[in-house]
Amino acid sequence: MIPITNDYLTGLYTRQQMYMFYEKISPNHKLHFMFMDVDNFKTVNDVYGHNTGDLLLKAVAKILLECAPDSQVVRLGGDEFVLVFEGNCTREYLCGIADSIQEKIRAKEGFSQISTHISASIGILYDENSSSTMDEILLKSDMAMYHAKNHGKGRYVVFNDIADDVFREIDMEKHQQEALENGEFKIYYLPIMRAQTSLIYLSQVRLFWESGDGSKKPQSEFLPLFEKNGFVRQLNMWVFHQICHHLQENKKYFQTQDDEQKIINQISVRISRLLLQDMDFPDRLKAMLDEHCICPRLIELEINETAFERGSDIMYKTIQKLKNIGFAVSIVNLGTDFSSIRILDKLLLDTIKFDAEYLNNALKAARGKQIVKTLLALGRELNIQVVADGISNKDDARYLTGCGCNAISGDYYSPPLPPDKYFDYIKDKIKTGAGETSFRFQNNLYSDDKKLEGKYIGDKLEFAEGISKNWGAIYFPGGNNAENVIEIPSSLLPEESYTICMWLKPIEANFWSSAFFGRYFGGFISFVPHAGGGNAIFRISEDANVMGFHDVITRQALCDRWTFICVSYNSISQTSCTYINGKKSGFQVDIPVLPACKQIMLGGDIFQPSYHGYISGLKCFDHVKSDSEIWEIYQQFCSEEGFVGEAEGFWE
Amino acid sequence: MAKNILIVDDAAFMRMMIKDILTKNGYNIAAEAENGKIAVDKYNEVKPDLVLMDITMPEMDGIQALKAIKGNDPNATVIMCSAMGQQAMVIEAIQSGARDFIVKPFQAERVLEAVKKVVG
Repeated sequence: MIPITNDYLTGLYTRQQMYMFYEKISPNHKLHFMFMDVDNFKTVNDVYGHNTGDLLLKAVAKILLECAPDSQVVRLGGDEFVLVFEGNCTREYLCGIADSIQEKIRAKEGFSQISTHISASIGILYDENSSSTMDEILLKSDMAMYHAKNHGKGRYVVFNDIADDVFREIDMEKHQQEALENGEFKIYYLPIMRAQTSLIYLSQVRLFWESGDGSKKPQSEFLPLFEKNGFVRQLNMWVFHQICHHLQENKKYFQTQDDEQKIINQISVRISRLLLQDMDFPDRLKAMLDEHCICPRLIELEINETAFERGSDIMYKTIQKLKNIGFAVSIVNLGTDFSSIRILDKLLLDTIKFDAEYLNNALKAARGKQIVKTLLALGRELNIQVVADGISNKDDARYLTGCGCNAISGDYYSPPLPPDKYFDYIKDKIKTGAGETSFRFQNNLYSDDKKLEGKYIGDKLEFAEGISKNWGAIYFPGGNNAENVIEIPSSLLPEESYTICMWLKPIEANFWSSAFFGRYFGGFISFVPHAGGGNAIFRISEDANVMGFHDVITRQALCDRWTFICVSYNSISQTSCTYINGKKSGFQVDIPVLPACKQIMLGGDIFQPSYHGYISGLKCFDHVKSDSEIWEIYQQFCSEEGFVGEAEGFWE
Repeated sequence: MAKNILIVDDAAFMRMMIKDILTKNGYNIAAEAENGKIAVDKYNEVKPDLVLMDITMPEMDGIQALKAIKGNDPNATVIMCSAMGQQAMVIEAIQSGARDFIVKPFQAERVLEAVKKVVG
């Protein structure tokens, strides 16, 4: 009876012998396996011939025997080896052996005549209970080695570390097709809001996988795998299909319904770089949109910055084609590396989106803040919208807004929402109409649209010449509290956020008189042109809080000259701004929201003596106007015929 | 009559390999031990014709066990099993009375050759 022989070339044990041992071993015997694969072995065989290949294998066998004398070294076949360890080995011990094996191979011990770069990929199965079958062991080790090869070769990977990931990926891959067919992939929307006005800017698609077992996976968990195995193509097209439906059914949230058909909101969708390699893709997508009568300008395509790492000319061409068709294009995750500068140079992008994690880290340090600030300025210079993704707290939001970031998304506003909840969320955050009410005061107290009429509380109502030919003014003679004032219906300020603009020409600097006063349930607001110390203040006061004055301090309005005053209040960010002659002059934070206005007075309030002077050009908006919009309003006044106010900024 | 052999190695793989080779060629495995201490006890118990002894083991290594066994029975026949890079220890073993040595990984022919030479 002849026992099984060892490997003829290396003298190591064979696969057969290992199986035999494994069969006979008791189930609870502790074992550890180290599987090794010689990287680039095939190249050596091809370039140098099989004799040299054999020499390499013999050298490797010797290295293994030297590095792991108390293991059993097996040659599985070809260039694959196993080291079998028994008993109590520590993980560190095994990793140490893996390290020394790789070191000796790097040093080409025993095969220095081979100039090909040789390394070893090692998969370690630590503490493997011998109740698994040999096939299971080989499978796991294969995965670990595959992982090692995929992450750079010449490395070792401990299977136990990746086990969960591996099994999870295998599971996902197995179920991906049926998941798509069963509708397990769900589209959620994440709002990107205009930072200054808290109005909707973009609706960003976020995919979730809600599988039958009740788990909900965010796209970060499955998209990388689908990019790897190509399933992303199918998934991406399905997403576009869904979006077409959503756009069709909810057009009013994206485009104004008037003749202008202005785009007020876009859906932002991630697009895989695999689709960008296909030059037919732009046409296919356009065809799908045409079928649903969707204008391409309603869609923004989001490309991950890493896609450009392996960017080809085809990719750039496809992107250009998409832009030509009318799609907006944005790049996401700017900040993970600076290949972005090259991209910005090559492509005319519409939007840049900052990575949340990068931002959160950067904003913690002064240097990081400076870098973010500069990048934002870069965006401004290049006329590219800059979006900060993933902002969850007020301070970061404020800092970014202050730096000129146009748009912000994240839990600060809302987490991703399913379509119906989402459209509910944004319905009051869309600027549909102008939302403006103006009072010309040309011998009457009606608003322009005739919907509101003011009421004069006093002896004699006097009109005067206004800021320009298009506007009249009211002369307020002053008086005791609530005397000689105009009451305006409270529906002038229907929303929690607002912007109020007017021209003031005080005659007397009455301290603490209000030019504009609003009584709310729970508090009041008032604009006081002279509050002492050379200041004017916009005060928002909360009844419930004894120290509840929130004042935005600015420069006082000078007597005998017209000054354009604006105040805005943003109920979402709870901030308020003042502007003098179109330029921002004050800012305050943490101001509580006052719900429901119940009384509005022009020219005085219920507490103090009334304002003595002129008021003209009163404009109220039911939303927050941005800095640039207020400047425009000011400029518009200045350009009118017969303008008598200051045409230069107050601070010149 | 079949020769009795005591196999000493902390690795089950090794014990199994050698057992397989030996039993398939007419030898009898009298006992197995996984360290030097057990080896000494088993030796006294079964009085084998030959001991195949691994060098590196926990509790008591092969060299110490060899010396202990030789101390009890100067006629004990021991063959050392060594791994690569253990030349110094092998020499010490030979000087302490081991008859021969074989190097891992064990080739069946080499094992049989060494065993036959000392016990027949």
